Amino acid sequence: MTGVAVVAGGGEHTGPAVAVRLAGRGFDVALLDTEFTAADKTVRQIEESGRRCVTVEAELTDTRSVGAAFGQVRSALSSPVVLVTCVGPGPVPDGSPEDELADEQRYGVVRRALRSAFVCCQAGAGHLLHHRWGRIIIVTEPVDAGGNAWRTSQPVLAGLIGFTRSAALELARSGITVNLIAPAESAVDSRAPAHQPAVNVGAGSYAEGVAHVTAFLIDDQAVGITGQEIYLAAAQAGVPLLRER
Amino acid sequence: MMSTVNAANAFEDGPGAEFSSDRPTARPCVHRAEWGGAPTAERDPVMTGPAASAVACEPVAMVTGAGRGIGAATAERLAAEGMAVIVVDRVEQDTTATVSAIRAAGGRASGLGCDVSVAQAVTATVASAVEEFGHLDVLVNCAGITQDRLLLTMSDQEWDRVLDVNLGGSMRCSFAVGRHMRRQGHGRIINFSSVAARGNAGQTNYATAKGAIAGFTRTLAAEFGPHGVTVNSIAPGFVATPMVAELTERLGVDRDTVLLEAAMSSAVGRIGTPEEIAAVVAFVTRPESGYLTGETIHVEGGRR
Ligand SMILES: NC(=O)c1ccc[n+]([C@@H]2O[C@H](COP(=O)([O-])OP(=O)(O)OC[C@H]3O[C@@H](n4cnc5c(N)ncnc54)[C@H](O)[C@@H]3O)[C@@H](O)[C@H]2O)c1
Repeated sequence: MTGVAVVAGGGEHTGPAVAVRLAGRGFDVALLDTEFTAADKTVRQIEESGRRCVTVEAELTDTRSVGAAFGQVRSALSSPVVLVTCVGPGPVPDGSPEDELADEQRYGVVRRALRSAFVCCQAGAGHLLHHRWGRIIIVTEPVDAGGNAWRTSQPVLAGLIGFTRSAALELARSGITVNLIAPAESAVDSRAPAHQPAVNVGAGSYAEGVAHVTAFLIDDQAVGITGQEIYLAAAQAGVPLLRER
Repeated sequence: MMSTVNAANAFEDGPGAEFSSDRPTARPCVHRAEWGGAPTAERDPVMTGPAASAVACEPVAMVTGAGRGIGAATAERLAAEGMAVIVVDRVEQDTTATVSAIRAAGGRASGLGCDVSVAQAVTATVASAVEEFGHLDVLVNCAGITQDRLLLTMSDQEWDRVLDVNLGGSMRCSFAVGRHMRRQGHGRIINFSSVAARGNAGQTNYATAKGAIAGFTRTLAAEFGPHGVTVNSIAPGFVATPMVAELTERLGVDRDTVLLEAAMSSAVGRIGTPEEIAAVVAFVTRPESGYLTGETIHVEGGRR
């Protein structure tokens, strides 16, 4: 199956890597994001490979905005069959333990991340259903080492697991699979180094790993793989993938 | 090795000491040692069991969603174990039945109305609880709702409400009460996840919220561990409560059929009772449970 794929979010690394890979598999690609800083290169690369690529600005936590963006994708390309939605837990303020505002903002960060998955998947699923074939892939972005984002990454990841499995159950009969890709270091029972900075680009990077798993999951034969979590250990020069015992 | 002298001094040392300036003027209370608070220079870091010291005053537990169902059973159970219980539900009126039941059984209870999805309400409620009781030793985040709908037709409001009450409520109450517990140097926070976090058709919102609660539990356990505060979740299976009755009514399905199906899908061949969930909460609150943290305990009668 080929057709149109929507890549929502994913910034400068994951989004472009997935988009280029999908184009390589014969898909026309629409990039959805709140803003685009360096999409020109991705668009050019995809067009040079003979596929079409459009960028559509949308507020990914807003149902109407995302709904309108999918409408634009349909008129510019066609109704999509693949949705890759990238969720970044995002930074939280460095509040002291006494800082109530920081606490409330922390819930806000988790809420926004989870809501973007709901909004994008709901809009995407509406289109995928027309084809009775579809792939939804939810991607959680790695958090910065040393930062504060680890305080939100576990609630976001665990929430997305519940979401992925529930949506998979609902959509299985329509030939639509829903899976989740996450960094290995965030897995609950992981022995991978915690808060390891993942390299951003190139072979072995998180973005390339996500692109590779996406290519695997969009295959017709991957129809039986749904409601699953796939954890990626991004390779980094000099750092073993798994901690020695 | 713990001595009673150390226990009496427990408030003056440890990581909580930095907050000593605005410590509430409570009756002196020594349960920090009972609860196996944070390790200190004088204390053996392996000391996780209960210390041989007397409890000078009763522990205080705050239970949200305690007006009925699992929350009510938990409040009554903790009261029966000798805790003073702050019974919290959306409106104060909803707390009266539980408060009366506890008092009738000879326990100490006080009811407070608070919508846990409203930040200011949570802050005010925790402040008045601390003012009345002087300290807070146990928090049980039991307030929860479902609003089931298939993903395709779920409204923004249905998504937001379920997230804001279940996850937002648990996070807010944990932060607000956790602030006091860190100062005290001891505490037990128990959240409510659900087996639905493993995925359930028609519950993308609820499964997301309940999964996120388990993730939040792990993170908060890591943050609060050094301060002698443990954080765990309970994930109940199928428990016959008003929540379930309302659900079957709303879906127009036969309640008995649903209960029978749930019973048959568990290893023990029956559904659970609120009291059985309350018993596990009570176990987690005990001083001897200080080495248990960050976990989500599934109480579902096993799977088959
Ligand atoms: N009953 C089950 O089978 C089951 C299974 C898994 C998890 N749970 C969870 O266990 C907890 C208790 O469930 P239950 O079956 O006793 O539910 P219930 O509906 O019988 O009781 C929940 C209580 O929470 C209160 N509440 C709801 N929203 C509130 C708000 N915004 N602020 C304050 N209070 C609020 C309600 O008024 C009610 O008294 C919930 O978190 C629920 O999600 C229940």
